[in-house]
Amino acid sequence: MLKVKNLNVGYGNVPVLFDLSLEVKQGELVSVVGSNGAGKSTLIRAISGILKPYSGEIEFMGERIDNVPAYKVVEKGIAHVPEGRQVFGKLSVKDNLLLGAYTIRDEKIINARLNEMYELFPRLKEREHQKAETLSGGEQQMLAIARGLMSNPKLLMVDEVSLGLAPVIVERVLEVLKVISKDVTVLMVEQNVQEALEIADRAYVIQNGRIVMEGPGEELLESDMIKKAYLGL
Amino acid sequence: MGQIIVNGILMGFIYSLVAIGLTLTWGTMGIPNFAHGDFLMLSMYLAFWAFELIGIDPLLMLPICILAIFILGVLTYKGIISRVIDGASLTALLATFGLGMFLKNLAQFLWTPNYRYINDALVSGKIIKLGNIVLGVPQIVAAVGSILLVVVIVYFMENTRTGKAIQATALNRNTALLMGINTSKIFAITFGITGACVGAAGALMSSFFPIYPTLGSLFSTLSLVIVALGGLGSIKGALYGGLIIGLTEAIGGYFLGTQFKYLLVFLIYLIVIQVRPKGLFGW
Ligand SMILES: Nc1ncnc2c1ncn2[C@@H]1O[C@H](COP(=O)(O)OP(=O)(O)OP(=O)(O)O)[C@@H](O)[C@H]1O
Ligand SMILES: [Mg+2]
Repeated sequence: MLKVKNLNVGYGNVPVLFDLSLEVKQGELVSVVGSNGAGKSTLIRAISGILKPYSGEIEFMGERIDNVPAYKVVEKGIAHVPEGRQVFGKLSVKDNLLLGAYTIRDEKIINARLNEMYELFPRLKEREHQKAETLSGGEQQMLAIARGLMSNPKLLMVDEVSLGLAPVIVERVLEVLKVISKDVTVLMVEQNVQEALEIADRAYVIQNGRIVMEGPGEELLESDMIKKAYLGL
Repeated sequence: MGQIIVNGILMGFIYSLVAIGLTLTWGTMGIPNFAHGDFLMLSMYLAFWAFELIGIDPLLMLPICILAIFILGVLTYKGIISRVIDGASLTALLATFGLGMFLKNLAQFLWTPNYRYINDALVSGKIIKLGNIVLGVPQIVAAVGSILLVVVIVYFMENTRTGKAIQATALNRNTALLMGINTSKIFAITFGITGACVGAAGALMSSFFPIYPTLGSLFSTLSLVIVALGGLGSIKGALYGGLIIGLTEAIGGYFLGTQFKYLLVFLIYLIVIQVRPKGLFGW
């Protein structure tokens, strides 16, 4: 579904990712883990078109998307839930969700999506007229995910859902992602290595802008390198 | 005194319309358009020449002025602003300043610095008396027109897909992109709406306000003050800010003499931003 080949990308002339390759297959939940500054967010910013690669290819559903402007990447079926949630704080919960469906023109489909989201996240329904900034951190994260799903994506990319959330809440958010991944392919980026590897079908470990390991989640959890470097065992 | 207050309020609504135009681009793109008042000047000249040359009444010119300055706004964004917006933020600001200077000088070159008036428009010279208060019909029409347009803009911003996209872009440009919003198109539209506001104000004012090449400076400055006073990006702020400035100007003119009326305007501004640095309705 998604193929990244020899991607080189950075900010201005400061390179961040080096010859990075990765693949996500239809139906998978793939995690990309790594520590602060490894380049995880940079990777998904490049996929969603916010950052233009220096070189390399990004292919989605058999089509090159590395030169497609960010706003059109959404139409192709990729949703990006950004790091730090980035909800539109001054707008209502409902408006946030509707903005997620900006690329959809058909009112009926939009309303159906909205109802699905309210079923998945009853909390959001209760608070639909509240300003997004008044939600708790966990609720805002749910809103950010739901907003991403509103565009009815084939691939949902989630950046660091666990950021700033209490462990219980993190667990709940990840459970939701697991449920979502039954219908939608998910690429998630996480610093929270243990949890991210537990729920992933496959995972990549990224260090200083390079992939250093890949494999099924459980397999990576067992590896000495992960245990030492990330889990402190 | 009643007369003074009424005059102030009528002018205030026009200021509100002009300032709402400015607050949209300033709030959305972070660029205060220093050519804002000069767009107003162009709209007034457009109304003036349409009247002089082909005898079209300024009121009938209203939709044409709105459209013309909307297009001018879009072209300004596409031709000038979009090219410099990713550079240092001062560059875009100075570009609008340069554009403003250019337009003033162009108007002087083409149409001389002379003051012009439209004396026999449909509404010219008509008055309505309410007790001992005298209301000029041109001013009333302009104020009512401004109010209607403000209502339309508020409705548009709150209830349409594009209005919501403008708000989202103002709040968080990168995230707006992730929603599939073509933010650069939104910027162009926003610049267009900014133009449409002064396009309308220009047509409405042309029947009672002197028309001259440098009138834009005053309106640019006043609307910058109104926006800062009301709170950047806030439509409500621009609305109230416009009324406050309209009233202050009228009252200041009465007590201090017309040549000093802006003394009070800027004094009020300086006081308000001491107390509320983000303006009355600032985020
Ligand atoms: N907007 C930016 N401009 C310049 N450099 C940046 C920018 N954003 C990130 N970087 C740099 O790129 C590198 C990778 O950052 P990135 O945000 O991709 O890391 P990350 O793996 O997502 O880290 P974290 O877990 O902290 O979110 C870092 O060295 C960072 O300083
Ligand atoms: Mg990150």
